[in-house]
Amino acid sequence: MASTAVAGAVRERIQTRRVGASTRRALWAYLFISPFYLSFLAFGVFPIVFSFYLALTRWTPYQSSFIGAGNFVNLLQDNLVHTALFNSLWLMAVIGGSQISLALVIAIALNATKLRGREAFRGIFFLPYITSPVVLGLVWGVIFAYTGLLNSALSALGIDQVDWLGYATGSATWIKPAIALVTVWQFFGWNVLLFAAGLQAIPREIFEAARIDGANDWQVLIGITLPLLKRVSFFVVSITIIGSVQLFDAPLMLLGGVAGAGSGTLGGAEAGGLTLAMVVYETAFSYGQFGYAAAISVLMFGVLVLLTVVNRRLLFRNLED
Amino acid sequence: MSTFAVIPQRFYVYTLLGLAALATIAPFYWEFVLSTHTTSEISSTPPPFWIGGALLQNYHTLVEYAPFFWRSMLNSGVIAVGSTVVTIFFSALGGYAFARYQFPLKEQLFWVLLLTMLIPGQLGLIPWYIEMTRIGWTNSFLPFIVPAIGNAFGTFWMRQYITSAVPVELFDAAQIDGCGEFGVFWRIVLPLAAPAAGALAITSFIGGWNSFLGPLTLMSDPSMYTYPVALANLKGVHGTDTGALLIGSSIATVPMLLITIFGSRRIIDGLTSGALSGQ
Repeated sequence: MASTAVAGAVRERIQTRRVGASTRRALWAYLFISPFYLSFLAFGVFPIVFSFYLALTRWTPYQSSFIGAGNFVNLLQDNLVHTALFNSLWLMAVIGGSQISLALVIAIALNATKLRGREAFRGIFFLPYITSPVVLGLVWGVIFAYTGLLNSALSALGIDQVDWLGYATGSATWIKPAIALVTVWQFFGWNVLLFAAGLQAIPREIFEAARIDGANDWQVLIGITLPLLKRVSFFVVSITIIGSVQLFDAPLMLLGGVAGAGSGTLGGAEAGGLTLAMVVYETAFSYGQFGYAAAISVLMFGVLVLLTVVNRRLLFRNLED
Repeated sequence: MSTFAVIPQRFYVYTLLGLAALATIAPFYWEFVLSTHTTSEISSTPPPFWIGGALLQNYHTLVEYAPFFWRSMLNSGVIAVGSTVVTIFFSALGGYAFARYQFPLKEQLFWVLLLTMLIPGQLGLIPWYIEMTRIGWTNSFLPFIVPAIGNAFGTFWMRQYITSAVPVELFDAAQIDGCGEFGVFWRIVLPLAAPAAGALAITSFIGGWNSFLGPLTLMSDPSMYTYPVALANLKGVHGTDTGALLIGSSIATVPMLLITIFGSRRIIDGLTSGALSGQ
């Protein structure tokens, strides 16, 4: 009897100590994660929530007043915003389509068995991705100049000079293709590396089994490779959408037009290279209309959410994924 | 195999990769070559294809027009290193807590963290700018270093690694040896999580080194510009001096070139698996 009572007391002691220990450990855990949440509240959540409020105000450096949906009514009539929205969607479609198909083909090549120089290729494809878009915009601006490298190369091939940036003729025809070219050039390599990583994760036996069953190259590509790359594809399409809508640095450096950085008219000739992100920046920092700029950001956010949902629907149509 | 039977498949593979690699390298080659030519040589037809003799002349023009150019490189370096150190420390700390501790609301808090990874950064640019100016963080490095404490992807990434790669027994052993809770993190977890921290460090460093839009809005003092802001400004004010712009661009490209040459393999593996792990 006495011994069981002692044992019970000991067990109780151990349990209370355990409870104390686990509470103490939970407190340590909260201490360890609290910097993240505090910082995120201050610099992540607050700006987002604040931007929805800002979008409903007339907010300048000197005054602020609540105007309800006024900014959004103006958005509907603002031709500059419409142009920018059109340009951004145009760039997204062209950049996304060409970049992803190109990257997929090259990733398949990069994944070939017994390839020599694989690491060198990977390194080369990686370089533009980590280089500042400002630097690349500068360099490509020189390449695209009317008397620049690209036109010299074209005339050597017997092709007429192209006014890529619209400076020589004032025509916007080639501005968006030029921006798309620079952007695809900068990011296709990163997409190649992502697709190649996805391909690496597919066991080779699957391909071999398909071959034994008599599948040809196309059937393997359509039936096996692409479906198994779905998750990578979703990610690649997502970053392409986000990147295209937020395109800012490269067009700015190619075309100029924002106060303090670059020269010329906003977004180049006929605003042909004006993106949504550039309008947001210009509206706020050249004209001091922070409320209206926030409203354009909200529009940008809406476009992003919509496209991301569509992307998810299209790629994961079947719920088994 | 069957469709490409006439010419060996190998031929297509190497041709395709070779062309893509050539197209990728060419603009960098022009950047460096043209930075050694005068502006009038650059716009001549045909343009120069090999190194010229105007390197020093261009450099002198650069530092004359942009007296804070090297300072701007240093500023970018401070932001890159500062944000990287802060990111690594706090991401590992939070990731460790999520990986090895039990506490109320853990699941919900982790879900919030995952959701935050979906929010695009530029949405908050305007309110973020207003917030920073109200706090008084203009012409300061703080807006680009302090918020790195709340790196959602970093915390998630470190948690994944610590969960899978750091054995639980080590924690018990360390606690028996008398390490405190923070001691375990500092002396055991952080060193063991080095491989994951490495990939995170590179992402964070590159992001900090190239930071442009934020500094463009908050830095009005030229001595606080980051190098992309300095170059953009140079283009705006002296846009016609292509030689000076290109030597500045070339100097700024060198660090990334070195990263690519000396560390690309491990970095690329780390970054691709990092990017895809969020899916």
